[in-house]
Amino acid sequence: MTEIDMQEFAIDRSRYDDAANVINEFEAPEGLTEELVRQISLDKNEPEWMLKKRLQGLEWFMKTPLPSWGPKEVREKLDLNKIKYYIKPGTQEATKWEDVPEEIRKVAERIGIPEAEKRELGGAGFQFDSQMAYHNLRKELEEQGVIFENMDVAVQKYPELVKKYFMTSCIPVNDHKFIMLHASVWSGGTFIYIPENVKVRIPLQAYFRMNARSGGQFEHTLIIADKNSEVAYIEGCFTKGNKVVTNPDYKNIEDIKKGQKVLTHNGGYKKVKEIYQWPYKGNLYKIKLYGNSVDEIEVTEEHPFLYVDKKSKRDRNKEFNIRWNMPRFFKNGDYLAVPINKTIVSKDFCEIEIDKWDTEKRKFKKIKINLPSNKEFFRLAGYYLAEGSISGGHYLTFAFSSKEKDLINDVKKLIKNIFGFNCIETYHKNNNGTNVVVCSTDLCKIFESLFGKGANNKSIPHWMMLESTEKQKQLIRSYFNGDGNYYKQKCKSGLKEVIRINSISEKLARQCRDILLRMGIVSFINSRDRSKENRKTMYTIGITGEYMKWFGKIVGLNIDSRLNNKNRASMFGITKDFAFYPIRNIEKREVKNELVYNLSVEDNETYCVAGTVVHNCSAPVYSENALHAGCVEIHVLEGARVRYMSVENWSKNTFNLNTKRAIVQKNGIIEWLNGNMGSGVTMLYPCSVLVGENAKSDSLGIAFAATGQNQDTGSKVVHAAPNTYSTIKAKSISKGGGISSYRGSVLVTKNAKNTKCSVNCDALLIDDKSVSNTYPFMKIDTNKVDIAHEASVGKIGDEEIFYLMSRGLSEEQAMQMVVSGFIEPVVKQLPLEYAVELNKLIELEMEGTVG
Amino acid sequence: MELRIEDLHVSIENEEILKGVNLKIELGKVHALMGPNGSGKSTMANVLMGNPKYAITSGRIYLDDVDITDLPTDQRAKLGLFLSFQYPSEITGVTMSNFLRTAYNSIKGTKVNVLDFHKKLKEKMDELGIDTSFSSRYINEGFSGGEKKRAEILQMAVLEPKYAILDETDSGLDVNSIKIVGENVIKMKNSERGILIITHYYRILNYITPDKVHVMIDGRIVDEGGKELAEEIELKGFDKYLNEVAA
Repeated sequence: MTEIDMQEFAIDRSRYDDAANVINEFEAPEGLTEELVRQISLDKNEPEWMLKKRLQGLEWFMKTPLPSWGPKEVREKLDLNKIKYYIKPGTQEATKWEDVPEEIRKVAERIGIPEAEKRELGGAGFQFDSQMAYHNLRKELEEQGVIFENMDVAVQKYPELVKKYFMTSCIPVNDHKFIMLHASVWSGGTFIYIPENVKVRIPLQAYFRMNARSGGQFEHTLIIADKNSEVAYIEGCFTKGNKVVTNPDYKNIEDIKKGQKVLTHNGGYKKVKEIYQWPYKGNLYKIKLYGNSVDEIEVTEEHPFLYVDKKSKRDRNKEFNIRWNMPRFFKNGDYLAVPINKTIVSKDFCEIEIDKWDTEKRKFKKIKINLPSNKEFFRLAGYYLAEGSISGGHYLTFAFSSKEKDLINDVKKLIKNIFGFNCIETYHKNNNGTNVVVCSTDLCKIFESLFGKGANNKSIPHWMMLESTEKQKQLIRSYFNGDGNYYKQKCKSGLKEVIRINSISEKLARQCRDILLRMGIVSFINSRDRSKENRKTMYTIGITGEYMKWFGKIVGLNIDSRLNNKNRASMFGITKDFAFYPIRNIEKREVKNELVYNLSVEDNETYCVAGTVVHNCSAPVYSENALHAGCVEIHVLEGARVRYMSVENWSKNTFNLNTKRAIVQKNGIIEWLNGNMGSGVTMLYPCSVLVGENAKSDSLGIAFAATGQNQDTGSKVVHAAPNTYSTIKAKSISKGGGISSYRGSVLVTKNAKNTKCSVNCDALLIDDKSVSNTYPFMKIDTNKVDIAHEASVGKIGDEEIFYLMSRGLSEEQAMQMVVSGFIEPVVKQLPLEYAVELNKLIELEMEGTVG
Repeated sequence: MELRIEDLHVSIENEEILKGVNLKIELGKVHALMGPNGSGKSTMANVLMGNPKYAITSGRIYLDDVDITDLPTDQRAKLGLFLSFQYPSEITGVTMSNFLRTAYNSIKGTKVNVLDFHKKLKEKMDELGIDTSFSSRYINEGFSGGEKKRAEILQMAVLEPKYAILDETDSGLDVNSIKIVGENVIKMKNSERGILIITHYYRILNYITPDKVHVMIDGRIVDEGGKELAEEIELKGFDKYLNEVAA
């Protein structure tokens, strides 16, 4: 309609939630076709004129190119053929909360709808994918003639009003490419009509949420405020906490704490941002892998794993092409990926703290000891893990068979070299054993603190797990020499061979497997329950196939490269990043209300379960992009006042391309308040067209762009009548390389005399990597105007942070305080619950900013 | 129990500002650090609080025998160190009361109830004759010079530090404001607190009698004495020391 496309953006919110187990009644295939558009219309039993509008939109959409401006991701990464344009969950609209299907209720409860209800808000609508799931309006409002309805229903119930206002004078179907798209596939949304002179004191609320992967959400909001009426409307996109899992120190998922570091798919440790747990109803899949009889993985059917399809039935894959896949599609024999922890922290010394008896004060005190972190020490550690024990708190003992003269001498030499102690040998006739013993309380304390107490609790300290593989090889060598064996037996087909190490410590067995992965050796773990013999469970690490050769080199065993006249081959695969274990067995079971977990992990949202890589199961799970192209039309008739507020926090794979516009008649007032976070790319520029004298528009916007996000937001005003007044206030925060841009436009037509407009945009950069842009545009066709434009870009100042820290605030607290102060002008305009939630979101985004 | 500075050398952009400062601030005493502009007084105040802009090249700082030389600023604050800034930062959107409550919780390691805190804050403001509207204003934003300094003293009163450093708290104030600030500082003198007043004028010392006076010239403490030393400087200025340095 004017020089500048009125591109806007929408809302999206998949960030903290799991793809709930909703059975979709109808899920359209990817891509957009006339057939699909007709199907949607038919499905909704729409009148002919609406179908016409849809088809018109489709026709234009097909021949209109993407906008040439704005974030480049929209042109480069958004594949419009890969979006599912219509997904209808199997539900009819319910009017009582209890009637809403349980699945959807669960999601809604996490988002906070019942709370909204409890607080007696005016009414609440909730959209799940494309269909409105719940709508209610307080009785008094209904009696006053207020309509708050699902847009689909409104088409049926109020055809006159809808026909007059739906995509006509405010946002016509041909407005721009994404509006054309919206017109053709729109589904659900909100319709509000406020009759003349009715003032609604409580804000009406709606919640939108995207659920299906690569789904699109195209809700339509139409608000008509008749003469001298008043209403406030809030669209929210929040979830309350729920979900997930992982394993650096082999912890059960329910024991994981926020801030703990977990192994992610690229083999490094990342912090857990959030832990979710919720009662789950649906199918759980129990997955067992070859090469691991210790762990069973049990997950919900949609929980994504790093997965490799098996190419040939008989042979191991030559190539491992990984992709995300969900348990319900798993097949026996296919591979799950186990990341290799590649972190190396090599030091010359390691400082540890032990209790030392102070003979004067007659009590223990803490002392620090520097241990050499060298090959010798690692070799001694291996001996200890295999043969070492502590008796009476004073005697460090290594038990060997008397035949193992070399090993006995090696231990004695190592202890002398490292600690300066001389050892004694004791001979035990009954088992022909020789013990190497050192009497030193301190040494006992050191070994106990490093490697644990008791044989079944033995483990390798974390820093040794991260050391260089050269040192670790020494540990493996002596550990194998103590506890390992090389087993071979003749059988029908020739020779059977395996290298084994036994341990009654589960943790030690897992650590050993992980260390071997760092050396390019894939091993398996089996466990054997020996409770009948009254003994502890035995864990066996086994190495077969070509991996025996590599292992042999480390421990000094000469392994022939051929076995039974064939090249050696194991069923497990390995690349430099992952090991691949085939799936042995998949079992499905249906559960009701069983607690399940999910974790949100910084940067890549992945973590390891039983070694395998899974993805956090909120929307980013799916590598496909999701699209939100909603449309908000607001008609502010003479003397009416509408306040529109929305806080959007869609998941990072979402393109949020939304269009919002208000037409304001004489003496009318529109107030916009938009908060944008979450989505990967946002384009949103709420627009006010002031067509009547004395019409007024206030626009407040806030955008937060973190790593990988491009928030292109702003505001647009058209002054098309005299004495009109507008203010635009935009605030943006960029962090970790995020891009936020203000894109605004002010147009003043010839007859719009005595117009006043003030534009004010402030950007705050948290670091040097982040970007802030400003693209203001103004076109003034008359003289008598008063226009002001101010823009500022600031970086959080060192002096400010120092000042706040001098009052006891940590650096992170100080940064958060500066940021929350920066957005305060916006936040204070929000209703309390939203203000609190927005502040929480910002805090969450700011976490981990320091250091 | 003292705040002790041992042979402190500090540089900024490779220029040495402090050239071996030794100083002890004792509990229950008011110390005055005097010196002409550019002698390094403010640098020392900043370094004591741990401003990362300055690099300590050698020397140590001890607070009650805890070596705080390498501690981050917030840790120092938690140990009871306080700096009244010469130029306090303005932080928009954050109210004084919200800020002070966060600081209070952080330093005291508690989580004080909002209402209880407001009561406490109100008491302190009454005591210091500060208008209650202060608490709902944004941190130092739009404050006059006098208001900023009084806000600093208010923070000190609320946070109850063990060692307080007042950096040029009197500069830029009219006579009346100096009087108010001076009287307020006196109120906070007690046996559990050591105070260091940094100034290059005598004026504020009319209201607070220092127990000890130290003179800093060109990054070194060159003279020490009782309150009579301050009186002498008031009469004769720093010329005596400057000549020595020049010679």
